[in-house]
Amino acid sequence: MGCLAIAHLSVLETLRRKEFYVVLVLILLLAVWLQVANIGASQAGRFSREIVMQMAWLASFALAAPLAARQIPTDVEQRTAYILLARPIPRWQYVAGRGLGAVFASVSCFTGLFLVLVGMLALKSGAAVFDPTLWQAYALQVTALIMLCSLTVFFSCACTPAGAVTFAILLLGVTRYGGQSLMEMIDRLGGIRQYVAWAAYLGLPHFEFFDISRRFVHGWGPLPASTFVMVLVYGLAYAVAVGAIGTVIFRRKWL
Amino acid sequence: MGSRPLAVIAVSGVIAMLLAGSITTRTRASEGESDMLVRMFGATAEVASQSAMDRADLYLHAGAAHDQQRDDPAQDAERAHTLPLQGVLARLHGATAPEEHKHIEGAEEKELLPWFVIAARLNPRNIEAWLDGGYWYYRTGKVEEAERFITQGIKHNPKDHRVYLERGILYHRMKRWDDAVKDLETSIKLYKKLNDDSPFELKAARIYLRDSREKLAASTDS
Repeated sequence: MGCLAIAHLSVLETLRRKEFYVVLVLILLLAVWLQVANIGASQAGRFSREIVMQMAWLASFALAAPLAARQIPTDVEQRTAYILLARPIPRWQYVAGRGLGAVFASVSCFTGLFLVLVGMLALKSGAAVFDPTLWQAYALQVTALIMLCSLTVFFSCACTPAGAVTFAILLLGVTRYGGQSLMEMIDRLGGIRQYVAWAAYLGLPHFEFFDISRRFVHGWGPLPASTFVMVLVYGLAYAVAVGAIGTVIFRRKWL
Repeated sequence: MGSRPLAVIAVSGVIAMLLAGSITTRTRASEGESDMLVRMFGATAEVASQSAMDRADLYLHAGAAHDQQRDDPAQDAERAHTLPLQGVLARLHGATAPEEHKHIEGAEEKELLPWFVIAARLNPRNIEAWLDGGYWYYRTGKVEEAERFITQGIKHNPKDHRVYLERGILYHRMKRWDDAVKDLETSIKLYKKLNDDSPFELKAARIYLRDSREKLAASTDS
């Protein structure tokens, strides 16, 4: 229960800030502009769908990482952490609460951005809103945000908030956009180097599995149920594992 | 902290784009160009323009990237994977991103057009953008838009023989023989000023020019 109360605090703090509203208005304006402007062909729905989707997805990552990075360091800096821990709350609950707070706040922000996409799809081609691929994409992005928050909280326990954001965004970028290429590169290596690189590769957070935007935009249909569940379980397990390591570092380093 | 990380990410993105632009070969993109985007970003706009063209190619292949296309994804997934869990990861990669080789057809082809418009707008010296855009406008039945688009290309690249050839071929298809002859003659004249050893475009221009002249003569006689 203690961790939920702390998470609630984090959500309230986030909703008081301006960043989310600025991003929401910008994406809303972009969606309206793409509806009104006739770029190339008015019937080209994939273009506007992809632009708004990618913007919403990237903006949610850009909002989530700094949000998660400032949770614990700000508490320690302002000495709130000591007040919270003076109550009979186990330390793991405090870290989990701050992590969950970042997750809830990021998912709330992402849902706001996602609703803009849904509204645009409803206006442009109503049927797309009922495409299960869209809802799979939403669920996978929520899981990716959980992973990113957990990863950033983990880094924030070990380094400065700016460093935590940098490392988390770097890992996100490398795996989301280069995950498959990295695997192919390792496949071409030989000897012991290949095994060392492969072990490191397996330890990376594989954000590339959570991006099915191309399946949605180009109408390839939803992921098979087994694959979808496998990716969700992987994401949640990775987030829990990284969060647990973060808790251990937090205990040893700061308190 | 505040909103500083967001600002840092945004600034890093802009710097990365500028650096990407600065390491590519500089062309005439920013010389005497009236388009604000091109004047501001020069070679960076060129990179972005090429990226828009790549996007059009991705759309043509229904979202399957060139380097990821497989003629038979099922067979590919079955190939030997020597490292632990490599097969599982390969299957997950294959499932999340489309890999099957196919082309979009019919009304779907209109989906390519926005990318050519953006590519040409970002870098008006990108001849491929004008040529491909003009072709796809025509192919999707938007003949007037095709003419308008290539005419804009000529305005930005008045010394390039390929845009005249493209518009000449378009006029030929539209049975506007007089206009076709003018453009094809201009194209051949400009081509002869180049030291280009590939005669394909010159051959094409000559074939269309001969045919347009014959049709023009026939229509004048009748």
